[in-house]
Amino acid sequence: MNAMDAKNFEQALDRWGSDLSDWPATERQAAEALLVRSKDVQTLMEAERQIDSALSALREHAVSSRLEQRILTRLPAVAGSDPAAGAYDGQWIWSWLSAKVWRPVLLAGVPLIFGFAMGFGLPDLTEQELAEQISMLALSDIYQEIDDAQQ
Amino acid sequence: MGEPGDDELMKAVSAGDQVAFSHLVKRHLPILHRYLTHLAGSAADGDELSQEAFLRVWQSADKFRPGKARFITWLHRIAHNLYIDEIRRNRPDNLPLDPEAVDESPGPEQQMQLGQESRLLQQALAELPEAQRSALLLCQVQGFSNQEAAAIMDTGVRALESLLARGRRGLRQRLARSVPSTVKKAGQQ
Repeated sequence: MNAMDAKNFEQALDRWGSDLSDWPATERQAAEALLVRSKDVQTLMEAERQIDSALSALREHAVSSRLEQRILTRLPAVAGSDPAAGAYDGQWIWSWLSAKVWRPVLLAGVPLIFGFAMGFGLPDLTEQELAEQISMLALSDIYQEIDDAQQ
Repeated sequence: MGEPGDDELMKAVSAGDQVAFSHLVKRHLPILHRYLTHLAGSAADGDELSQEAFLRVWQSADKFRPGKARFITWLHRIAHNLYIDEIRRNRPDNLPLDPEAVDESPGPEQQMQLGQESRLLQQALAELPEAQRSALLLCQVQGFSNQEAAAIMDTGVRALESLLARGRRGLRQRLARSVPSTVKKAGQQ
């Protein structure tokens, strides 16, 4: 068991209060031993107990019933959390879509939607136009090769 | 059948149920008012802040998450933030509250009820820095655990413990100046 002096005792008192049952076992035993032999520490403990008792006395508290009425009568004037508000203004759709679960799904879906849009947006091509597009994509000049072959 | 719990009432409040809200007010107003009155140092400020806190509950009921915190903790957090906003607005230098305000606020009946010891304690409390006063009130008077009080004050548990320790010592020293008894002897150590 560690020896405790008045300074350590006061620090422990600041930390855990005057109820020794709230103290860790080692510190409690040391404090009990010190309390037996030190008048100063006894005085300190007594002062702390008076403070705790005065703090406990603050729990007795009454509130006027008029205040309760005042709060309740102010309600209609305050825009409350009317459930219908969310349903009709369309905000619930956004809040549902932006919920954590759907956020990654939405993000993953963006390139997919972009791809579909590009695909459907392409014009119908003739056979020659299609060959040109493919040669462009292949980074080669198919016509040049044909010309070279013909020569 | 017993009374509905806070979570159940909040579910109804978020659906616009004023009766459920009135149950919550009746149940928690005295506790919240006690905290705010001692925190702000006057019953009038306690009234104003309590009213505002409950109206915020009504407006933001859909933001309450039952599994995440107890309703009473959430309510205190709203109230605590309101108080912080209030002192920032009115006291840009963030000075501690005027200790005299404690003596002015209670009416004659309340004054009669308050013992000398309690009045001195309230005065000493009012002289403490706001964060220390708040930590002491939440843990010693309102009965929150250190963890819950830390969540209300938006701080860590260690920081809260340090606030509690400094608050207790501060109270002891202040009371020692005004009480020529046991506390005085203790404060001189």
